[in-house]
Amino acid sequence: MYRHWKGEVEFLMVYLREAHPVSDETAATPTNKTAGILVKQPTSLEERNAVAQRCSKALHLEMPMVVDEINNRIGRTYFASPDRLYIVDRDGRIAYRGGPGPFGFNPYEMEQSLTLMLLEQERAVGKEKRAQSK
Amino acid sequence: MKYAIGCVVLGFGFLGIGGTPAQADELRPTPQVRLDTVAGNLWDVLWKNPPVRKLTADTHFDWRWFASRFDKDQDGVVVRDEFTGKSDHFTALDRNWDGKLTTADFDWTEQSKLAWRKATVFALTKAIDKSSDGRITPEEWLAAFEKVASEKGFLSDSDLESLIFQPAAKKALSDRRFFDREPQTRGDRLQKLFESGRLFTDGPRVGETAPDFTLRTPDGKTSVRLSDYRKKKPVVLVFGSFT
Repeated sequence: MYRHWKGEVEFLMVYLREAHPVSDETAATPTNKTAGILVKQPTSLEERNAVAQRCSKALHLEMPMVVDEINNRIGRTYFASPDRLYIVDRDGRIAYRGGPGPFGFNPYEMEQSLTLMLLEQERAVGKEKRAQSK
Repeated sequence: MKYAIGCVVLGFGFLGIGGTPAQADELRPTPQVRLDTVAGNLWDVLWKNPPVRKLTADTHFDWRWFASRFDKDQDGVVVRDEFTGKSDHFTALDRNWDGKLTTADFDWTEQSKLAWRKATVFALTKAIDKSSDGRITPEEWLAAFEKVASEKGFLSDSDLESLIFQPAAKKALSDRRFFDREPQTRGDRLQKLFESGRLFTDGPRVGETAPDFTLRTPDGKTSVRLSDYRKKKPVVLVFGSFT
């Protein structure tokens, strides 16, 4: 999806606190265990950076990534943990707020809004151009 | 009504004192509201009837917006001729491949047919993709085949069904385990309600200015400010973690 849209849209991954660190007994981690992804909750930005880099590599992530502050300020502001999608339009406003993850995390739902937003953007640009040429 | 009272008490507890409710009781020897009894009941209420999460997105670009732009004859159906965008956009938007765009293509609830389709594919992928990297390698594919086919040497439809739905059944079990276990203290309950994601999911809303941030890349070399993209490009924010 990133490859398909990256010319028209900026993608930014914000790396949050671990949703299922190993010390957390309530976490549903059989899948992580199978995949050998056993990570402790980072207590410093350096530790989180290291996990983020490992994640980026293991999941073949190509999109740019930034890492949340160790006090999880941005993740909390966006109520984003464990995972969530937002679209910010060209004016810096929220155009799309995905459901709370994990079960509300739906890239296809996001892509629908993204497609329509770009469609609207094209229309607006076309209108501007027509107005200018008159 | 119960929830309205609940919110007031919650806000009171969080803003006034912070920390766990147990600490709150200790720090307030003569509370106006008897937190120990009211909050105790509140937790029971919340615990037994956790608020239902809305799992679908909030978006400016919903069916109503779409119909107002494209459904010229207002019959609830947008056919290819009514659609002024690119043809491959129409194809992408027609999620159920019936050649027309209707509310069904915009229905992302868990009960929708399309959600079932996606959930099935997701379960199948999850069952085969042992490394959880979103890519099924030939080895993973073959391992899944051999595991389910075992000595028969072929897969039947019921084999496929078990491959797809058994992990989901296990998942449901683990969810039940998670919610059924009785937490010991009120602090534990609060913690678990938080973790269940059923409370407080109200991030910045559609139409609001996105809260700005400046964060660094994992290598610490570059810093990115969200508002720098303003007037240039839209931004898709993907929040998440490895685990």
